[in-house]
Amino acid sequence: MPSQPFHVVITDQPLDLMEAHRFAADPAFGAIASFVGVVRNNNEGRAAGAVTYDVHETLAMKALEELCAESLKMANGPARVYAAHARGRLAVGEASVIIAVGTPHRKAAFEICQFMIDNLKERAPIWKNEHYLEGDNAWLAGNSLEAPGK
Amino acid sequence: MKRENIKINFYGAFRKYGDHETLSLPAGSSVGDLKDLLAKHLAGKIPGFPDSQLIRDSAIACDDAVVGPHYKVRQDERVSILPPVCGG
Repeated sequence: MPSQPFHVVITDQPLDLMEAHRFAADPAFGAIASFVGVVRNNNEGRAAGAVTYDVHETLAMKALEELCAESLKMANGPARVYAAHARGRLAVGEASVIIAVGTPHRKAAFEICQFMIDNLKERAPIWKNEHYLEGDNAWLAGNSLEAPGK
Repeated sequence: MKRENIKINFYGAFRKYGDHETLSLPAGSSVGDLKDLLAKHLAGKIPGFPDSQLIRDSAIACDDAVVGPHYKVRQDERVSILPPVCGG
């Protein structure tokens, strides 16, 4: 079993839910909660066929590691956290993000899993370019990492 | 006055303008100065430039840290402009 209690991945290869579960597992844990984000075929009434994910890799890895460290503090006990995010172009149905959290009991696993995905969306420097079936594309709006005028 | 050439790496919505832009700024310029000059530079280059607000809403990273508006940028750092994020 790997000794470090968290693992983060950014890759242009297909994400692997079983790898995430294997990392989060521990004989002393009774719960593994996982979240899989997938590319959907529509957004705000427009039909979409793919999304390209752009990533500032160094800062995104740092953000995910910080989130994992915060999660482990939240757990207030043993926990294991896995977070993987895709880079590059994904088709509808492909996984863009996988979070898996192992803890002794389910409540902490659910809470940490939700914390991870909610904060990943707000804090990791990752961007989506949505490709529409009509042939055009658009970069989606998001959350500012720095408040305007700060 | 000494000037520095600052290469600004583009991400997300800025990719439509290329992968980077290099600007000449007075040494000791701040992140705020850099963002102002980038907006002026792109507005001068692209008729009807639509992303001045996006520049204001974006963060600047120097090497591996997001820095504040008063941070002094240096040409030996990897400078990136980070528009609002939306991973997941």
